[in-house]
This record gives sequence, structure tokens and C-alpha cells, in this order.
Amino acid sequence: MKTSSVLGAVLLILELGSVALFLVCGQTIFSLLGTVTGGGGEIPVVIDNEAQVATLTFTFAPRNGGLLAANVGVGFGVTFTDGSYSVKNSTTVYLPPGEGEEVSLSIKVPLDKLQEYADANGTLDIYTSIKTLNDIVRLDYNAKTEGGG
Amino acid sequence: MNVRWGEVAGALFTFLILVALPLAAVNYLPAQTLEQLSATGLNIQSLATEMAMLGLVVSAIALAKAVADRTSVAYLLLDISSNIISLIFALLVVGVGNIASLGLSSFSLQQGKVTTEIVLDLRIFIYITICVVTFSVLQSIVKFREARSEANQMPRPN
Repeated sequence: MKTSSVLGAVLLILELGSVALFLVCGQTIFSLLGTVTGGGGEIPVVIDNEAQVATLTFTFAPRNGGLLAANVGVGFGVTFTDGSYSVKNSTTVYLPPGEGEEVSLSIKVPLDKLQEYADANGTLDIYTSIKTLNDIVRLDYNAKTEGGG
Repeated sequence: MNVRWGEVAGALFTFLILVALPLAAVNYLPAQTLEQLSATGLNIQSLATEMAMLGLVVSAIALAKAVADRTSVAYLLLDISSNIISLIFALLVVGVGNIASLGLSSFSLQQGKVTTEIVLDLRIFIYITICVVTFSVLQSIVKFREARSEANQMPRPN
């Protein structure tokens, strides 16, 4: 057998393998992206008047409909635009193919800080990170919503 | 001129996949999707045109290879050029239009009070493509040497 034919066969395997891997990674990431913020519409706020603290809870419901396992990082927090205040809670869940998990995260924000956020001095940040193929392929999707209005 | 029709068919197939398909696909995307993508700084129309232009060059090279003598230096150079353009094509696609990003792309989208930032890390596919292209160049050189050695071993007409 010619050396060029052997190299050609190796190349074909490498090319087909990389295209297949690209498609499988894409399918895993986009199947997760559609579900990761499934529980997040309204954010329940529980106010403790005595302690003057509000507890905000955000629910993420990632479900891995892809063919590869993925590490899904989710988090949310409040940040002031001038950087004077920031609170964040985040976690990472490992999801094998076909599995899902509901993750509820809470943050405690003093009422005066929450008022400042409402006066358009801060942003409510939602963080999502999807890593697959042994964390080599990654998609970060972060949304920042300005307060006020 | 010795035309290898199999390679001509391959060139036409390359033209369909790399030129006709991206240009046609853009026309099937809803206008709203195009606007949303445009708001992130991603001009899908321009990406499709760039892909088609590179595809046209790859197809033309494939066509030229179909008529070039396999033992000629011109054939070797065409083969290597085709491999290098394939790498540029992969950089363009994986970098979502930005070749310089080398597979690490980021977009930002502002809709009212919501700012969305997206980071896509596909660098592994660029590394794989570099391996594939290196192997392809190696294969081109080996094929060229084999073709030359076969031509030298053939009995020459008196």
C-alpha cells in the first residue's frame, strides 16, 4: 500500500471525526441553552422587615438533551454600576446525556441596596456557562438587566 | 490535455457545498433572525459572501488540479494552496466571521435594558484543523514524490 493512501485514510478519519465532534458538541450546547433558564421568569422576593433584608431566589432547570455530558455553571447576582456593591451566588452541575436538574439559588440583599438597584443604579446579572467535551468546548451566556423603570 | 473527470466532478461538488449552499442558506433565514444576528455585530450576509469567495477559490483550484499533470510542481503547489485555503475557511467558519479570533468568539447584544454577552470557545476545532492541514500538506508532498517516482519507472517510448 502506498504511503499517500495510508495518509489519505488517516486524514479521512480525522476529518470525519472532527466534523462529527463539532456537530455533537453544538447539539449538546444548544439543547442545554434552550432549557437552562426554564424556571426563570419571575424572581420571588421574600422580605424580612426585621432584618431589613430581601431574599431573591432564581431557579434554573438545565436539561441535557445532547449526546455528550456537560458541566453547566449557573449563577445570578446584583451588581452596582459603580462597583460599590456586588452579591452573587453560583454553582456548577454535572449533567450526563439525557439528565436534568433543578437548581435554586438565593441571594440576600439589604433593602436599601435593593432600592438603589431599583433606582437604576445596578444590574441583575444572570450567568450561564456550558462546558462539554471534557470542558474543552464552552459557551458563556451572561445577561445583565438594568434596574429601574 | 488529460482531464480527470472524477476530479472535475469533485470540483463541482465543492462549488455546490462551499459557494451555492452558503449563499442560498442566507436567503432562507427569516429577516428577523438576520436583524437579531446583526445587532450582535455578526453580519451573516457578509460571512456567507466571504465563505462563498473562499469556496470559489477552492473550487477553481480543484478544477485546475483536474487538468494539471500530477508529476508537475504546479500540481503540488495547487494542492498545498488548496489545503491552506481550507484552513482559512475553517478559521472563518469556527470564528463566526472573525478569522483573527482563532475560534474564541464573543458577541454582545443590547435589547432595551438587557445586555447579553455571549462567548463561544471552539479553539479545539482550530487545533484539529491545523493538524488536518499539516497532514494534508504532508500527503500532497508524498503523493507528488510517488507520482514522480512512478513516472520515472515507466518505460519511455523510443
